[in-house]
Amino acid sequence: MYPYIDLGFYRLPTFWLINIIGVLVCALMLFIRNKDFSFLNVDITNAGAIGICGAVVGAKVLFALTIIPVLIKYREYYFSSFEIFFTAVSSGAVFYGGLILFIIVINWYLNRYSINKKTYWDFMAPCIPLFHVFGRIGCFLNGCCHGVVSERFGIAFSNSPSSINGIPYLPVQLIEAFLNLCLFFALIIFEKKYHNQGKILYVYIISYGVIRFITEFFRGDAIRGIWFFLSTSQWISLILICYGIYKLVTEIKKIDNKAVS
Amino acid sequence: MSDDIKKDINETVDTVKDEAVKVVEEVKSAFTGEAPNPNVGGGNAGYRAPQNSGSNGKAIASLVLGIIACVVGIWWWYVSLACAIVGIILGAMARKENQSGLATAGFVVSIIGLAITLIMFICLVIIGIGIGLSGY
Repeated sequence: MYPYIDLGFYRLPTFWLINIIGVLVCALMLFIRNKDFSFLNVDITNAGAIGICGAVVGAKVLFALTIIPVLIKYREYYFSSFEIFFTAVSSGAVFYGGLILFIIVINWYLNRYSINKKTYWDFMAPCIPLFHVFGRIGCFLNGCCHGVVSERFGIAFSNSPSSINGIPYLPVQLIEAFLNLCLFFALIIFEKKYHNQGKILYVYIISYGVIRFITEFFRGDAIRGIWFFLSTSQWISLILICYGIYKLVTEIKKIDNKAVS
Repeated sequence: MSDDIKKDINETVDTVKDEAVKVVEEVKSAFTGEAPNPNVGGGNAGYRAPQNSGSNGKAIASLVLGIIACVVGIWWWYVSLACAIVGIILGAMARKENQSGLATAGFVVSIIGLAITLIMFICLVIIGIGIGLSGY
């Protein structure tokens, strides 16, 4: 694995570099697609940057909430110093926390400056799985978020600071990256067909919810929050799938009512 | 400190306070789905561009916070993360209201500060997962 790139004076985390590349690729994709939408460049960059801030905070906050039982169980260690406590609560991230706050803060920006939310999310939503492709590749290079042990299909990590080296783990990160890439192309095609109908974000939420619910069964990394046999991300997937179906049906009914009237 | 500089600082602080109150109202409305309270911070339900001095205040604040985030990002990443995020938000608002070079500079510097901070964050994620494997 390649968790770091050694620059001599500093070891640059590969996960960080891959995510930066992901952000730049998504920005390029947004500017290319903007010819079909005509948003102001300042709105694209502002909403994107503010959304990323929300995503970082949301991912960290949700992770901190999921490890509360671990913190309480080993409180003598984790509360022994501020640095150990803060490192622990900052030491992971949950994608769903980032996604939810990303959507909320961008909606705040769109409300504040009176920008059409439906059209904007049709524009922005396909870039979320595109960015996630890079995130999962970063996870693979870092050796984190791996799958269960699999002698037949597993890949053994070496030099990974985030897993036990030498044991073959199912590369769930690469599987999810591939599925996200397929989802990106599917959303692009779907958006071309149902342009400006405000459905793309909900289709993404439902599709990714299903993908994540299934892939979570094959995750084998150490720190998982488990509640009544399902992981935190699986519970969130179920909630988001229900929410996405409800909103999609509502949007379809609105469009049908407009067509009738 | 001269009176002009004190006056500029006070105006900037007042602008940031007003905008903070407006932001809280708008976040509340994003959660609840209700329209923002029109009696807060301006009294207009639709978007209205504020005075240039307000935008300049935000642009300057964004630039200052971005520089702080860049400088302290490696050592005090939690401070630089807060500065970078607030800097990006203020820079975005300043760019939207009055697209000036100063607002863009503040926005860009804050983004660089966030990128530097995230390097430290990622390193902590790697260390933290390692601690998780130690049995604790």
